[in-house]
Amino acid sequence: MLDTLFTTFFGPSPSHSRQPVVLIGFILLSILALNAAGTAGLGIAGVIIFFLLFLIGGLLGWIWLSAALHFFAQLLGGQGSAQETLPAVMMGLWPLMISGPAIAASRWPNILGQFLGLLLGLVVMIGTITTLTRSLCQAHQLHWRKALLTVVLTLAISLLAWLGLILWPLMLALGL
Amino acid sequence: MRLNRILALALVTLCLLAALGNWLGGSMESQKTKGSANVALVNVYGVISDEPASGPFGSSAGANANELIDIIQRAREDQGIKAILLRINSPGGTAAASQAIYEELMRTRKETDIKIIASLGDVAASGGYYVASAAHHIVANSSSVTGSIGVIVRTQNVSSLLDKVGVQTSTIQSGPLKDILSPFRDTKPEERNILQSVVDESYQQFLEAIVAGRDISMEELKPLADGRIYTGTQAKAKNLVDSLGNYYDALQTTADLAKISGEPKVRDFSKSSLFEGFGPFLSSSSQAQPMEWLAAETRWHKIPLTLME
Repeated sequence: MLDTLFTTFFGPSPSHSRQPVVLIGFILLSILALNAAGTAGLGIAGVIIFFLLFLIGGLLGWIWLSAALHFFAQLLGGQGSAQETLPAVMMGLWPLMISGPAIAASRWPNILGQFLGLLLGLVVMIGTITTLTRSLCQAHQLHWRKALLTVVLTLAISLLAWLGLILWPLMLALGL
Repeated sequence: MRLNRILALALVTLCLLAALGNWLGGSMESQKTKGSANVALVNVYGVISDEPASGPFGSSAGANANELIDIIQRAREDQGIKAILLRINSPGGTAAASQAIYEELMRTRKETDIKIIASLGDVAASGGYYVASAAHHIVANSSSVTGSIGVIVRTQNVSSLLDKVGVQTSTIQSGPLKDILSPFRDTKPEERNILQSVVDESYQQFLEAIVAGRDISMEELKPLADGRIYTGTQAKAKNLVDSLGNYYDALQTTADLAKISGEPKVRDFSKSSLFEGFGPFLSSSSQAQPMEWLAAETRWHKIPLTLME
């Protein structure tokens, strides 16, 4: 069990096995659903509903993020297939689990709680980018600089897409 | 290497436990906040009717009697609640549904020390006023429309219209009075007598409910209860409401009557579905939309007794 857990989270390697992806996905969804239900002050039904909502949203996000990352990785000379990108992305997202301790720490009283919450928040952010980059390095046999560029380009394109989604309706509403 | 694996397991466990703590902490805090409220806000918005209780995604359109009774019961069972503030904006509804809500409020008045205050919005007429009359104190805006105390049964005779388009109807019935209120013929004198007795009985119950709920005698009430509507100011002059003011004036009155020291803590009991915070997105609007209104109107013509006009 320990071996499976360790290699799943901390020693990813190109594999066609679905088990690690499902395990990471389940743990991530559980943590995020518990956090969300806690913030909303909901009971067990809230946890279940959030889990199901995040499952749908997470699947969609996972596919789109993987597609974008795969596209840029291929542009930059990546060798991996789409079947390798999908598990690599999921494995690269494991630091999101630390959002549990980050939120818990931010609720502690005094400046210590705020500091720890901020620190762990940064760990989540930087950790996710780092592991995602590392994961892409392995899946596509890319140099880490190119893998990092892939992640940065994907994030930039996603932000631009969001901006477009906001600006287009605004333009149409004001212009028509 | 074994240490690495133990550390990995510890990290995953820590993350899960922290998330569990976040959930339990947030959930308990929410319960604590709920418990500390001392005024239960109950919205009676839209047409009052008897509908099945809605699911976890929110309330149905209009004022559902079953849901409102459930809300009143939950407010009554909450140890911290000292008063119920009814916010009424309703043109009325069916006699039975209005009566059911009224009875639940009167039970609360009799069995507990909870004070009930009604704040009238745009309209609190007929069934809306029926519900309000169960309150210890009614606050209305000067131009709120209220009154319309009465009962009405309406039918149409569409037989001449059907004749024009060549439609003929035939009825097979077990008894002579089974097709009472048939829209395909004129109402018979015998049927008229029956309907009049039902209307009179229901009207009498309505009047008795107002007399029981408010400080007004039957002699005083009867001349006012001919079905006419009143503005808030007129209703105040006729002793149908107790004071004039808006929602915040009603809240202050609630605090005074319930002897709540300091700022009253209000909890909206109408927002008790699973997705409390997502109510506006997941539940249908509390104000009936035009199509829903039309649907309600159409449906109601199947029910012989309504208070709404």
